[in-house]
Amino acid sequence: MNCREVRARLTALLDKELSANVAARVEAHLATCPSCAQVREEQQALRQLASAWTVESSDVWDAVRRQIEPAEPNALAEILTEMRRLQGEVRALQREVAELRAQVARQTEEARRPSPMLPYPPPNPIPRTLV
Amino acid sequence: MQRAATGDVQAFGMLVKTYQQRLVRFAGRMLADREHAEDVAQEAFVRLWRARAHYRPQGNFGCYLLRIVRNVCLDVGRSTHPVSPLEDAEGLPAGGESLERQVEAQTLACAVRRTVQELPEPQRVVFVLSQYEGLSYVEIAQVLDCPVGTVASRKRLAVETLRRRLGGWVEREEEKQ
Repeated sequence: MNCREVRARLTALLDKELSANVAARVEAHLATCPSCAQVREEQQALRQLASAWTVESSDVWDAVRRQIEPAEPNALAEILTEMRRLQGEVRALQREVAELRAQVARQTEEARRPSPMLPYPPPNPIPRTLV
Repeated sequence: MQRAATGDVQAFGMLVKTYQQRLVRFAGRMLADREHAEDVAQEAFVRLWRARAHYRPQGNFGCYLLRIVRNVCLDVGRSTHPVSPLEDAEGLPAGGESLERQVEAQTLACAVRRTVQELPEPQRVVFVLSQYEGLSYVEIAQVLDCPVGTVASRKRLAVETLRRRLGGWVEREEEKQ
């Protein structure tokens, strides 16, 4: 097996998806090729890195149950509609807040920058009538 | 699921509680947004409930559910929406570590998330199912309804892209090992 063939199989090797026979041939190449062995190490490091991203879970059963249980009187449907409407509004507000924050950050950044040199005297003095 | 298919809400509740964590996690990684992930998981369970009469036990039930979630993710069309700054707090390790380490861990988690998010959806879904859900290529092929060879090549491409884009972090991680 040459380097190109080995590298094409490295991900599958680390995923333990190769047959024993192919895995053994790839391992044999890796034992003698520092360059391919380096790529394997990088892939292993990447797997380790990727595990840094954790996602919290939550209980969705109550929300699901409200949607699947037999329709109760109109009151329940109305509450659900209202909840969905409010949910939409909250999201819209969140988006607005994020935009405002970004705007403030931009303005702060601009304020920090030194102001450009202005020509003196100004090229077009302001007419007295406008002052 | 067979009990739930007869309309047994309690049995369906047990099923939801068994699988919800996995579905929210999967959707969370596909969308990089926990709030929408919960909505997607809810919608997936509601779709499952509505289609319960047509359910025929075949293959892996977990894969069947993940397939529904993936379809919901595609339907809502939010697979590539921008990540909000507030969500970057996720992935922060628990207290007890130095501030410097916490910041580094958070920055890393954020970098990984953004890089995974930038992958094209077909590669991202394969990477997430393999790396985070621990599915085999055969199981992923079942979720995506595609050949196993396609799964293998998408995973390889995803890993290559991530390795390139997270180059600096990868080197640091290698030094640690």
